[in-house]
Amino acid sequence: MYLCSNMQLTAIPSGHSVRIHSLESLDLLLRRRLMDLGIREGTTISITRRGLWGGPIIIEYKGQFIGIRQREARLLEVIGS
Amino acid sequence: MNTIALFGNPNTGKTSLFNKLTRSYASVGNWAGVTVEKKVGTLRDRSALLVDLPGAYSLHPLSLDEGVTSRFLIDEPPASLINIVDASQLERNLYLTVQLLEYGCPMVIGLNMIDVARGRGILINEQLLAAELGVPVLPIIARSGQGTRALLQQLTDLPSLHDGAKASFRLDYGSIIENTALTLAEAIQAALPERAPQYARWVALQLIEGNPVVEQYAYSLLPPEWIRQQLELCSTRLTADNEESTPAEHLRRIRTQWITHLYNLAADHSRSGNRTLTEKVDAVFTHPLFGIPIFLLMMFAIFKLTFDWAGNLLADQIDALIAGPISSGATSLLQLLGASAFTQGLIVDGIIAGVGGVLVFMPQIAILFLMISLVEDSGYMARITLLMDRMMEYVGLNGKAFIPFIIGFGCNVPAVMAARAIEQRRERLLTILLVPLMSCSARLPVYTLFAGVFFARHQAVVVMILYLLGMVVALGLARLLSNSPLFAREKSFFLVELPPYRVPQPLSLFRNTWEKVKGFLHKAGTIILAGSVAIWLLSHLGMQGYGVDMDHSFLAAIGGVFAPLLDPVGFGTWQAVAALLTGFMAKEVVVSTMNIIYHAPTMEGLGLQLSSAFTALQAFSFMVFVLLYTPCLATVSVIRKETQSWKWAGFSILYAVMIAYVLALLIYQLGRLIGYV
Repeated sequence: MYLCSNMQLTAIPSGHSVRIHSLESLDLLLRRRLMDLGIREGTTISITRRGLWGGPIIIEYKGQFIGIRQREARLLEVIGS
Repeated sequence: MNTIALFGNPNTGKTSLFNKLTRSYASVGNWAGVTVEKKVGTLRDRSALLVDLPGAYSLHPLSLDEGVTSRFLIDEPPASLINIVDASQLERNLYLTVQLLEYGCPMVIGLNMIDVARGRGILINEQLLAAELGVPVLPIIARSGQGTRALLQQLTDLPSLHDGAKASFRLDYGSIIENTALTLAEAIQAALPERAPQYARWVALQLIEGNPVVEQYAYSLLPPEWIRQQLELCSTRLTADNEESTPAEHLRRIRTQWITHLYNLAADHSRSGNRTLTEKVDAVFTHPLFGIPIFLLMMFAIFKLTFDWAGNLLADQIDALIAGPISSGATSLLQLLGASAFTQGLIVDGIIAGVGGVLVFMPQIAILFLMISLVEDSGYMARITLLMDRMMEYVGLNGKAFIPFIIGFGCNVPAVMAARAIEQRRERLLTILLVPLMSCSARLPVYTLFAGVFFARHQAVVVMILYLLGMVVALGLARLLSNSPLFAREKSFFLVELPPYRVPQPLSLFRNTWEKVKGFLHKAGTIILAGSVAIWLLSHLGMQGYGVDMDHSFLAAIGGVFAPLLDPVGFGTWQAVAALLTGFMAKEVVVSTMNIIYHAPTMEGLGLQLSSAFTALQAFSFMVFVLLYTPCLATVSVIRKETQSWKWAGFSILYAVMIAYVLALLIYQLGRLIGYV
């Protein structure tokens, strides 16, 4: 099943905001860590910077900056907002 | 004495507060995971003990250091708690607060970093927060100490506040969860009649949340089978009730809903939204293209400063002092007292030469530690992990392993412990084993001595090559080992918080550096001193008794046994072997031994002796060998402790010796092939 409103986090240009639709596909540990930082379904995050050569990307949520790997960022299902 | 415990999210200033309130000192930094074990100190007025705990986002631990918090609450119930919350990230911080309130111990909340929050346009209504949470909330700035006295005062007044019939904190989790919690709590209460009902409920809720530490604890109180049954029942009932979530998720949702509601009442950030200084700085430092070159450039600048610009100049002053007034002063004093030749030799040629020869390098070591403190305190550390993650991922580690690596440049012992903050078991073990390849400050005297003699004009470059070599070997080994069956692949992820940059406080930098220098001086007065005495004795005692020619001493005999083995790598002399063997106690002792064996009054004199004993190529091979050959005694024992295994401790020595030998052999033999001697 594919919803056309869903986007990949890594495809979004820096400076744009997206809403998180689902964290389901992430590894449990990482999901817990993100939730520890307040990121869960429905929160709006923005992409601050994209890494070069597949390096980590930086996302921003309520003034905190978090680096995660692109591979994992791709598993986040997001919706444009 | 009463115990007060400090709780809070990572990097919220718990240790800063600990240092302000107690007589002890613990090292601080601006990244998540500085404190990895609990530290105990006495309050300045000696009224209570203060316990500093590793930061945690919730009581449910994900990494080893976080597990300490739950275990502490169970094993050593404190008299009261201080919960430090970051005002600029209040909503996230309140999650732990809720869990602590459920624990039901008298508590004060220190609202820290109100200056940062204000700078970002966030205003917090403390009175409202205090009223809703039912505990005092006090604004503080832990770094400067502002408000800490009031916080302590509030804490002393606490018990009286709680004596009243004040209702304890309680969130309603809905009938299904509440029923299970009640059943579990009643059973726990029956097993622990002496503890408060609130505590039993807390244990029950933590069980429902799936906290592994609490689970272990509960299994020791009640039949595990029964507990599992209750939890399963709860889960099925939730599903039957058309709930999609697990009990743990349900708990979390109720809590976050409550927190969001409270936060919206108490916080006002209508004025936020400016691009902060941190973002502007990060646009440069974490730049996709320039980030890594900038990092390497900074490293090089640190080496330049340590050697060429400041360190060596200062070291020369100390050398002149020790070789001149101190040495000759001691000699004339001993002669005046009529001391025997034996005593004179032991003190002047043994202790002063051995310990003094290492103390000379204090300036370089101090500068290096100062620089590391600067990286730790500013917030750049977290950025380094970000920059390095791609490379680290390639070798089977994650960017966070770089934190122990950098700390390892100072000293390997705390670096091995810093690996506790790494979530994945396999990556943590691998990091621990590779940390000893990071060139610590104890190896600095060896490089400084040898590079100063043989590569005087390119000292900083040669030393940087050695540091990089250690790093390259570590990464290569990581790649090799992570693909070997020894380390079963496990899912890896990387997540790092990038804290706001801070201008490091001179006082805190000085304190951090001073603590490290103190550690070095302590080592000089103990291990290095003992080593020097032993080496001097061994080098003057032989089969014929005291006063033999050094070449017939016990030291020469011991060194001579292994010397042929080291012939192919370029330094098959008993002197080199003796230095390396004693260097296992502490790497500085390599230099002490050289000082005693070559019996040189000054650094310059020692340099002359060395340049006749080694060629430049042999010296380089020797430096590489010292860089890699084995973790020192203290590091081996901390590896044993952290891995809970003699096997891994033994492995850390074995692989290091092998790699050192192979690399030194390659360097020496290839060097000879291309025409060096």
